[in-house]
Amino acid sequence: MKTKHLMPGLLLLGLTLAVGFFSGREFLSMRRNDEIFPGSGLTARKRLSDYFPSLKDTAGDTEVFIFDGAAKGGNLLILGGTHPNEPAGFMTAILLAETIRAARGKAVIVPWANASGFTHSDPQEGSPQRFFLETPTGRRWFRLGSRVTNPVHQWPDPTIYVNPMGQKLAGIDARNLNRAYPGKAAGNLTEKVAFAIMDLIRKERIELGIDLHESAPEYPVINAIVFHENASELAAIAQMELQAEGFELRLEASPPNLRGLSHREWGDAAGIKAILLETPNASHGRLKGRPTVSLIVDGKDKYYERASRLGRLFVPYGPEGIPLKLRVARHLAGVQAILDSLRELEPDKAIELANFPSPAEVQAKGIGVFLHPAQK
Amino acid sequence: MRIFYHLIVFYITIQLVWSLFREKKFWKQASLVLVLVLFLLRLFLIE
Repeated sequence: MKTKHLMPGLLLLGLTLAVGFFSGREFLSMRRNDEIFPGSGLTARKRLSDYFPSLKDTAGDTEVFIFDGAAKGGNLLILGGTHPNEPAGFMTAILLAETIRAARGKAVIVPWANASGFTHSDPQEGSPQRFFLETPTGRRWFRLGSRVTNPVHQWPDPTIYVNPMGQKLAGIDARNLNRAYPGKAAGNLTEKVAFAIMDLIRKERIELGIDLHESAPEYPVINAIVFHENASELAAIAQMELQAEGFELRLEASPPNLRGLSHREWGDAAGIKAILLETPNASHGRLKGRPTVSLIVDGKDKYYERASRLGRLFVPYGPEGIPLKLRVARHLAGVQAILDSLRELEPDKAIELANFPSPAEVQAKGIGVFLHPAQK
Repeated sequence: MRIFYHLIVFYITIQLVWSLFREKKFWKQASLVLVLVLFLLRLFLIE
């Protein structure tokens, strides 16, 4: 071996190690959980494994925040992060966990329902690993994950996935939490997480469950309240209230033959009023341009604007885009309207949440002003 | 099973490093490290 070839070899090896070090560090940073700083209204901080111990020390275990009021009322579950690439869902849950206090009844909040999905991003999408929001004292970063469980934690996908209710789905849906209900105690990781959430619903005596989602602007089920038949009246009254406030939301009945979804199985298996809320998110749609932090937060995309002009979208989409603050405000208005309807329909099951961020204020001032300051 | 996987990846990594120093042409060396970086990431980051 001549030294003539040794030097470029050593140089390239050094370069390789440097690239490996920096990209490895970036890759591993996705496994560090974001922090939540709940307000004084928090009464208990648990983990999903407290309800289903088999999840302990697995990538599926996640935090559960409980806000129990002094006055007796109903019990509410708010789930964010079922799909970690739908930021308005988990940001609404985080915002509520950091602000509310239960004056009546109980609120249980799970902001990162599919915790494993937050540890990676969708392959070949080029999505940013994180996005930031400005708080009064500085920038706060949040992870943006993938729609499905990390394949490192659950592998391989079957060719055809048969979910716990016997529905045949594409193989990748084996890692989709919102196809895995009511879960299986001895199933794959995603089914175990779904099983743990069902256990939480039973043990916390939940009566109303709201699963917060987003969908692409070209998807028909959008700006919608998807409801189980147990919650049809609740959803109809909530829709009227939302329309009066200027939020256009359509009602979608949960199809009885589409199994494994929260709005179907929470109602069928646990008998609760189950509702799923959808807002439009351009950052995970098929027609988007370059996926950037700005696209997630500001929601502006010229290709979606063009698609809207061509009449290809199911929501209005102008040059102002659909920013995250508007999507979170829509979710907040949806939750508030559903709670108002519950108070009207079943006064003894009413749930009153103090310090609830006003949707109009979130829309006007942004999400960051309501969040805990960034840690230095 | 994981130890076998690690051993296979480690063996190929060593072969790649060995080839890197035996290769005389710079651009072939450069092509080789593009493969090497993926094996190093696999070797150290696999769970």
